[in-house]
Amino acid sequence: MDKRIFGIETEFGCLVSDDSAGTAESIVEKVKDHAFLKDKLGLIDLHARDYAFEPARCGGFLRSGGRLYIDAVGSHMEYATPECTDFADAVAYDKAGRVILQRLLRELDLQDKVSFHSNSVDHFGGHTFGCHENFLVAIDDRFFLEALSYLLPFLVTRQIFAGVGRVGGHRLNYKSLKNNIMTISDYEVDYQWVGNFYGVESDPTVEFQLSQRADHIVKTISSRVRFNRAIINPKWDSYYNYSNLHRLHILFGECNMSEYATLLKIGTTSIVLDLIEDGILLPDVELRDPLEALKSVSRDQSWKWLVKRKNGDTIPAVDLQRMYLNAAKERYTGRDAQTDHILVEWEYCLDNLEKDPYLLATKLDWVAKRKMMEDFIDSENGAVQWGDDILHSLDLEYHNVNPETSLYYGLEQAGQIERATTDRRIFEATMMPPSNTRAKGRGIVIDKLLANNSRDYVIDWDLIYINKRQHLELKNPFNTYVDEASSFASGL
Amino acid sequence: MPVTDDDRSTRPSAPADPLRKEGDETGPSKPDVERPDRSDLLKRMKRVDPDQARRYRQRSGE
Repeated sequence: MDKRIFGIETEFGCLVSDDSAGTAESIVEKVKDHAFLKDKLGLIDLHARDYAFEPARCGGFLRSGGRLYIDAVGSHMEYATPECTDFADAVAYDKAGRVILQRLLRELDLQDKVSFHSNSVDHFGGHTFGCHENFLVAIDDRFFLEALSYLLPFLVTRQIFAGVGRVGGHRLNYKSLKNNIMTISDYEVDYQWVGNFYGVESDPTVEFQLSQRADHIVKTISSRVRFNRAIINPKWDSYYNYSNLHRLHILFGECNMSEYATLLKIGTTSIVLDLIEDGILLPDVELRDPLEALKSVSRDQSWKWLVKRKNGDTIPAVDLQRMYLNAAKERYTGRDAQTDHILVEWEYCLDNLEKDPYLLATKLDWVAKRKMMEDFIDSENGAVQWGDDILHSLDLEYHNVNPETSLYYGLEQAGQIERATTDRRIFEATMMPPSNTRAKGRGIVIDKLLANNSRDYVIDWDLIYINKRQHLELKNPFNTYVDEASSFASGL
Repeated sequence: MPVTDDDRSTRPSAPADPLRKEGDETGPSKPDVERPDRSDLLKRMKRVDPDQARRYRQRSGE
């Protein structure tokens, strides 16, 4: 596919440092209401999108075309980028969500009492929550599952550059809840649709691993997302579908703080999907046990990252990635600037991961975080060791969206992390939709409905409905619908 | 080409200079600080509440 639609969804953890601010559940409600009712960042949903998980008024579409809402399961504040088709846009819109949340905390004077963290794990509570990617793919239903088997090895091993890094580990236990650290059944909604259950234990044998989510992934493909978390959720019932194109929903991803890592993650995944759509099915990439490989790569303290292929051979994850890279270089070099850029950086990363991962400390989250932890341990002259609580807290602080305290933003402010976008571009992405997808048309109508103080609308990814005679279809995500939306808005 | 465990050791013996020397004009910009001072970052790390990860109690999401 020459052009592809993609987007990123992120669930944020909420840390309440001062109980006078209220519970995390009450704070996300305040933040969401402030965004839509006071700041008018978008239009709050007047109708339930899902009665259990996305009831009416739990959030809404933003002027940027993305969404901000509370996921009822887990009560996490969640942000979804608008539909993007440029890799660089995905980076800017992804970061814009964090800027919006921090701004809302500041306006509510909560910035010293509450923080949002774009990590994916509760170290001491055993819970996980996600950052998911959506890609529009042109894969026929009949071959969908087969095609995914060629994607899985890529997704399993891309954590060597896309992993955010994690201090410690979790172990899942299906046999006994004796050492379970995960609280259960406090909230009825959290356990709807749960057909599987296990206990989570802390795993003291792991100092540091590449991924925050690998320990919690138990399926390769599944439509259940809690306790049956998969690498891929096929989302057959997709809002994103268009014509013969489907939404591929990747569950095994993490919210990168590094813009460079986000760019590489989205760019390489899109290019690998190009290969699969073009029928370039690499026969030697299939893994004997993708789930085992997912965990072993994440936890490999030697950084050799060896995985076993279906044919029985063992191969380093770097070399497995090179098989995709070489096929992509052969076919897509010179196609367009953003593809060329990703191919160059992909190769650069693989070369350096093989040579010395620390060479990527200014680019990749897991390397930057690992180096930061080592510097801290050194500075404490033996008083701090792997496994100590402080390292888990530093890990969490890396992901704080508050630039004044976040360790990631500390790196950025010191010029020690490479940027892939600019603050100006991120600021624009908080308010303005991408110029080349249907989000543009959606944004035009949302602006007009906000100006009219309208209280009667239904907005979805592919439709804006006012009443039976006034609705605007946005079926084609590649179309900006500027003329149609402007005409529609003028009649409101 | 498959390799055995001993063919390659990627673990460095010591951290290397993390700054990429050769620039790619079309790529992301290089850090604009030649020799960044990490002491401010270390100060920031030492201000982190050691117990905050224990207080960060979340619920399972997707």
